[in-house]
Amino acid sequence: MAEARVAGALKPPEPPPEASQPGAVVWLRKNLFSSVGSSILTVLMGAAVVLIVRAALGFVFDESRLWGVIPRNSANYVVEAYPRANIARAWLSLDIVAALVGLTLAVWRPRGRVAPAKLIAGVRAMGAVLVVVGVLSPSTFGWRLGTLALGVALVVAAAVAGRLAGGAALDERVPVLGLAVGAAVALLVVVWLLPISSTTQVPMTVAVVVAAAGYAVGRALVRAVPARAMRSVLGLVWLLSLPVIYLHVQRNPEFKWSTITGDWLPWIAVITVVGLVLIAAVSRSDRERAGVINAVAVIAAVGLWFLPSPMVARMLMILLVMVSLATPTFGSSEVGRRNILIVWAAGVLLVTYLFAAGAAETGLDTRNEYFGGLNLTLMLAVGSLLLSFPIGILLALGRTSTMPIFRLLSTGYIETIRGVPLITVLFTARLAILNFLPEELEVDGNILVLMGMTAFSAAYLAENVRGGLQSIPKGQYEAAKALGMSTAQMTMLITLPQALRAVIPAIVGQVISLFKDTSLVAIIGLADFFRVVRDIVPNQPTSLGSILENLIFAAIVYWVFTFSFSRASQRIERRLGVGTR
Amino acid sequence: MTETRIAAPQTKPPPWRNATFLKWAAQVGVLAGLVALVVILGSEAASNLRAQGRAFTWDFLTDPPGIQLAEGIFTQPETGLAAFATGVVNMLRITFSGIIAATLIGVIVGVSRLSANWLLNRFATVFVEIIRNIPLLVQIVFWFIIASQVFPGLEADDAGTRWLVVSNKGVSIPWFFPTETFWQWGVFLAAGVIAGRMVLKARVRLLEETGRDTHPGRYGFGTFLAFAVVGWFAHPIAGAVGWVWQLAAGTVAALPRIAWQLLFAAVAVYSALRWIRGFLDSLRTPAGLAKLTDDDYFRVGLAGALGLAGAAAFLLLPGLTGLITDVGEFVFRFFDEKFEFLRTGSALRFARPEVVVPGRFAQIGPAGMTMTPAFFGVWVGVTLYTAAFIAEIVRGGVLAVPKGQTEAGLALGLRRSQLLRMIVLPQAFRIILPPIGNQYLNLAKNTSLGIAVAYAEVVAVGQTLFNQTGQALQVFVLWMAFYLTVSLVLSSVVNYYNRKLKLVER
Repeated sequence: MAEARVAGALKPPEPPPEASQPGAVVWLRKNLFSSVGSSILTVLMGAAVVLIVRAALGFVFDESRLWGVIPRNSANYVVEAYPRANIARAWLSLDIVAALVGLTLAVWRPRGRVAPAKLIAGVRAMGAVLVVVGVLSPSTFGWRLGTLALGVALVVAAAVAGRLAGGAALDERVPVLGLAVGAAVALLVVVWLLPISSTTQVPMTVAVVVAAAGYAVGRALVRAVPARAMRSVLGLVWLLSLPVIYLHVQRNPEFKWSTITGDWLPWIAVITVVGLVLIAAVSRSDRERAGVINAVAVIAAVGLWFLPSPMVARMLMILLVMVSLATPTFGSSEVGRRNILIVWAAGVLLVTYLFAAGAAETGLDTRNEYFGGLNLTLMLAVGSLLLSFPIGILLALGRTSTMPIFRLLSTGYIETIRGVPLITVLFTARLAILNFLPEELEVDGNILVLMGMTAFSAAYLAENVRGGLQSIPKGQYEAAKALGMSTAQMTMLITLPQALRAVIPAIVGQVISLFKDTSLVAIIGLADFFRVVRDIVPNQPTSLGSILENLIFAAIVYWVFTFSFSRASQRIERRLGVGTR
Repeated sequence: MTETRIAAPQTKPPPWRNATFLKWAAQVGVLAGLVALVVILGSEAASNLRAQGRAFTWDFLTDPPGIQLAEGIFTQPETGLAAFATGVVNMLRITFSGIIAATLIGVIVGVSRLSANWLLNRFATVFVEIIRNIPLLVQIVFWFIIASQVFPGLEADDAGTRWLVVSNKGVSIPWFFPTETFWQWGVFLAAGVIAGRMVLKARVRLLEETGRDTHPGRYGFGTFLAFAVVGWFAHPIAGAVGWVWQLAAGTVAALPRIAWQLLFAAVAVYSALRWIRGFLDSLRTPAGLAKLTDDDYFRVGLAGALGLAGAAAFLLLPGLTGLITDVGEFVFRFFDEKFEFLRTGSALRFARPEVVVPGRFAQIGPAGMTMTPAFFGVWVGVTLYTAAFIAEIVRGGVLAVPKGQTEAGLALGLRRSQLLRMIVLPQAFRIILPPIGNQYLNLAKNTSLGIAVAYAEVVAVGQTLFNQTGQALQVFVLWMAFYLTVSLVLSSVVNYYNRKLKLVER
């Protein structure tokens, strides 16, 4: 929170509007040669920059560089050992995400706009970079001349465009949607113009078409369905897309129907009915009786672990306890009761599905580890973030609670995890957790690591959420108490929503570091993107000696992801106005 | 008789409606559940380990581990503990040198980002945006590959002494090495720091009283320098300090163990009582002791229980006391050896790196300060990464100083450098310190990535150890204990300075 406030205060003051475009000489004198010291600095820095850029370009254009390794291994970088016979499933995952992106664009109508002045400045900067490259790069004369000409052309084009558009038009803003369409078209042009195999060209095109179709469907739906409902449903679908993609689409589970209908169904049916009755009863009771019923439910849920019951039944009971604990807060009205019953029914279906899919053997043409590459990296980053949310929020509530034992336990957990490096947590997760589980329980290595990353990320998330909780004015707590709310109602309806909204920038910051931290799983042997880059590709007989090329490629990929995240977080921060209010 | 008694008005609700009781019941219930879970998991682990024939013992710490380490104080450790100590020293080497270098680079880059010079400003921005958006692991591996594959190899005709050796076998620089009289000189240095601080404070007081420029910095540093110069020649006298260590070690060995046990137990109980008294005093108001909440009772109870538990542990486990006294004696003897009355000789030895050819292949000799490629990779990676974050913190801190301060300074006729040194940086420092402390902690934890380039730090040594012995759980416990200790020490140092700076505020 404090950081966000500082960042808000940091915003440099807008430069005063200039009457006319200052000349190049004026600019140079002001920014590079304002004093003797500054001039000396400029000369020294200029020499340093020329040397560094020249060395970097010399490295890139060196004859012995094996840049061809990168495009040749593109599939390895993205999915690694995923069976190529089933590669359509990987493309299908991309299509799902593309459709959701299209839908989201249609429903949320992105309000971001870009000023043409900024675009023109971007083109000019690109041209300038090309000119520098053309001048300094130690490659063939023709190549340098071409680069130089292209750079000059871009700079000139930018200047002409700026002159043509005129002063006023430059400050008008064009919506981002046009840019998105432009980017999609550019992607298609690039994909079809470059010598790329048709096994990539066709699915890529399909993904773009799917995104466009998603947008069209979204526009049609927006007219028919209230936007509020659309947004919450879409949020849920985004959440669900992750388990569906990784448990179903990419795993192709072969469901064991006999277990499901034979062993599970009686338990599921009984718990579902019990849940419906219980929730209805709780929602009609006063606070005291609801408390008694919930206490009984908690005891039953704990007791189930000591009975010979399938894991899915135990999980359903935990879900039931969570729903019924939330019922007095959300389910006291007629609409609330209906909604919470729907939530319960949907939750039962979801948990059953997740367990059935998770327990099923894969139907892919392989018995090996088949998740890898960027696919695994993204799964670990997004998965551990989502899973750490409930744990992190509980820990934050525990740490700010007035109940000393809860506070002690939460503080102990958070400070322990934050005091040790992630790699030790990952080693523990990969090698130690299995020691504590019954021998017959088989857990996939990727899942163990996901658990470790979740445990790690939850502690940091808890600290972020705690910052949000502490930033809420005391009056909010007092007002909620004055309205006669219970602690649970106050937390879920008043303080937690405000706290979460206040810490969105901090959470985006955490997403960035989590994404970078996924590279550590390479050390403990998972085939994530970094391991493909460091070990797998450079050790192929055809790619020997390409480790530096691979590392630079990885750095660029990671950089593009994290830099765009951090830019997005700055935009969110401005939009929310956190720190300025 | 009974009819005269009127039922007293119910002041306390029954337990199932009493919020205090319910809260405690929930907490104790959860705690009991957790304890039960730990017991169940622990017994499961014990039976699993027994089934695999791997008992949970700490023998590997004293047994020969049968491993070799690439660099450090013991490259052929005789015990697991020695191997672990090697990792600790290697980790601390990178942590301390990295903290110093990252702070220097970070402050320079952070101030550069605020420079009016466009080129410098952009250069610093590009540096920060590149470094902090790429995973540290990628950077460490990159620098390691540069150091081990791109740096030139050594040839036989490179043999000889030189000022700088950059090769794929390591980077070697000239260095001042401490000799056996260094600790004696160190006594003078420490005294110089204390005396210099006192002079500095006195000059600052004089400045505040008279308004004259009393040059506190010059006077303070001069005092330190005087001590250093005098000590350089007079250090044999400081060897007398050795007698103090000798006496301390002798006392530790002479007193019977039961005496130490009683002493430690008494200290445990006494410190618990002191904490409780301080806590209660802090709740005292002019009207008397404030009403205690359950939370206060819990804290008092917990402190008391911890104190008693500590006392009981010291009394019932003589081994624990024995461990502490053994370590104490070892430390005192260690220092005792460093001092000898009237031992003479220069305290520092200057050495230039050399290239030697012992057999067919040239290699770096032991003379200079040598960084192996693994050390170079981890050190450069960790330092630059932390420097980028420190630069952002410095920039934020400087920008957070109100503009009026700068304008007031300029109005007083200060030069830009004076303005920065006397007005802006001291105020920015207060904002900067806590997040920078966090970055130091991150740096210490990030050295654990050395395992990716086989740098023999704590995690890498631990992994080698459990690969060899199969005792993974114990190694994990050691890792966590070590890093938690480092975090605790670093954060208490930072908190100490933080509190001191805060006192200055109104």
